[in-house]
Amino acid sequence: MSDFTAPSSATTASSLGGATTGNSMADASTIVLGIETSCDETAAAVVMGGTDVLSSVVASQLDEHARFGGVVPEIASRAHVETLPQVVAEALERANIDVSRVDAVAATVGPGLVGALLVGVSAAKATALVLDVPFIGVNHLEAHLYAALLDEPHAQFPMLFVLVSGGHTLLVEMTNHDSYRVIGQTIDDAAGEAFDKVARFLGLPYPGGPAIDKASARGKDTAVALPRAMLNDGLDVSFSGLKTAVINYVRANPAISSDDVAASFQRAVVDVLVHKARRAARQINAKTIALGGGVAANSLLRSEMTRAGAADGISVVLPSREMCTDNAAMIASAGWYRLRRGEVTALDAGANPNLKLGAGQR
Amino acid sequence: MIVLGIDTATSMVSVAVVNGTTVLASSELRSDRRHAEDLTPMIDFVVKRAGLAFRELDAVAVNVGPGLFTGMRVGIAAAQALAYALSVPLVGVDGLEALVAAVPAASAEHVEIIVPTIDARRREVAWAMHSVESRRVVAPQVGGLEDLLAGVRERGQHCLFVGDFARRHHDDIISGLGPQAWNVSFGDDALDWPHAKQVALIAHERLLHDEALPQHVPRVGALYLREADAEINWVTRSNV
Ligand SMILES: [Zn+2]
Repeated sequence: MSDFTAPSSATTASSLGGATTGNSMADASTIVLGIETSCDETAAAVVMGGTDVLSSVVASQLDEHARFGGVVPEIASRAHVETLPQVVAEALERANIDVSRVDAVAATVGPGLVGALLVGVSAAKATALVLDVPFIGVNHLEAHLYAALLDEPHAQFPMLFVLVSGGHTLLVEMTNHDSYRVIGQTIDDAAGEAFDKVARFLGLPYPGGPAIDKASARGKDTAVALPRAMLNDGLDVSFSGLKTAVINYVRANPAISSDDVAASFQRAVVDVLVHKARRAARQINAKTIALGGGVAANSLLRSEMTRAGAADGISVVLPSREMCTDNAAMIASAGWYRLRRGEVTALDAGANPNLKLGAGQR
Repeated sequence: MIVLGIDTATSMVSVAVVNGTTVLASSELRSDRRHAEDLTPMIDFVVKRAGLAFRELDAVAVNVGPGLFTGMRVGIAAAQALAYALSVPLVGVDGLEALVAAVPAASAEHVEIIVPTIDARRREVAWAMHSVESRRVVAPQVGGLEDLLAGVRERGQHCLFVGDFARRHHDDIISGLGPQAWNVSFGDDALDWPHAKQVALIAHERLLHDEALPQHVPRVGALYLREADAEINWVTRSNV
């Protein structure tokens, strides 16, 4: 967090409210209020100039969903509408700014749970309307990339963006801020989903990612020989066979330590991700590899990707751990980059639960 | 006192601005699954057509249900955000009460009890009972048509049904009540849905009587009348 400095009011975009695209509407002093309600975190943040995080507040609903072992959509939506006002107020208070100083409001419009998304979108549009400032609908997946760039805003293109979360495993070629191309993805389970399922099978607590990370630290990662599905070495990945191999192995060897299984499983996932990322980076001549999503908080993935980047002469950008999981600072940041390109969203916009990376929106 | 009313709790989205007991502007739209898309432009339109700036609003009121869960949350989320950004009080209004408030005095002649109904989906109905003096005698609840009819039989008073659920189930209600059916009547289609006009008027009335101070962070609770479904949808779980 940094000290607040007053923005020069001449640079704010309120006079251009009706435009959908146009000249740059954001600069280093522009303050964006970000709102994120796509899944099970209710979050708000205040970010100045795209990367200066003045505040970031996340209210997790983890406890409310934990007993179901997954996210319950109706419970998530109820919690968002109850919690969001306090979260927004706290974000503004921690940033030490009055709501009237906000220059634009950004909210996640997708992908995610539709009922959950609509809470944030409705609050954000109403706020933008009365403040007479632009509303910016943000793609949640794109925002995960900006989480990585918060600390490294000058990372160089072309960039390989590796997005690994509970719902997504994507290798994305980025030639510039507004140019995305998905060049590899999972053909079955997402990386985070595989972590969750294996953790559940091993009797580890939900969510599975941190639990496996922790158990792995105590286990031996060569204890169990597990397959690495390389899919004829294209850029797609698959984790379903690995998950099945874990289950079959444990059933055949019930005495095996679950720490050893966790460590062997985690090593296999990381091997696949790092191998594919290196291959993809070579293919697009990437200068930077950026990681994003909840699985990007995994210790082994972070260290192995950094090591691979050093070996290949590619800089690797890692978000801080709290910026890997869902937050609103990344939403505000992604919103700022869109606003800088003059892209604002009309107030009759809704949510798009199936929004893809690089599709539509513009 | 100028109050902005919002209603997105049913298939009919509406917005109104009232000054005291006078409706300055209002708008409504049949919006089955587009509440979030329709609401913000409608607020903009209604407030501007009333010749007002947002900072001239003294309070915000919203229908908190019963009704469509996603719909009511869209309205509540917007109303909470508006009240916070404007630093004005926020009033939550029960949609069944808003339905009762719309009944004209002429329709309530010979009537002792008004029974507002709102479709609660899954073949159930959200309902309550109010006396003609607008006092609530049975609190909002949700159940099957049979529960509603049992409540009516128990009262044994002349009941006026309003709301689109009652109108659509007119024949079932008549046959279900049997010999007691002569003692009920039905509101016309103008009384099918709650409307933001009544939401704002009820809020105004309440603000006159309760010294509602602006909350630091304005919030209202939704009237779900039903526990959340605990169904995990792995397919739509798209984030971590
Ligand atoms: Zn996410």
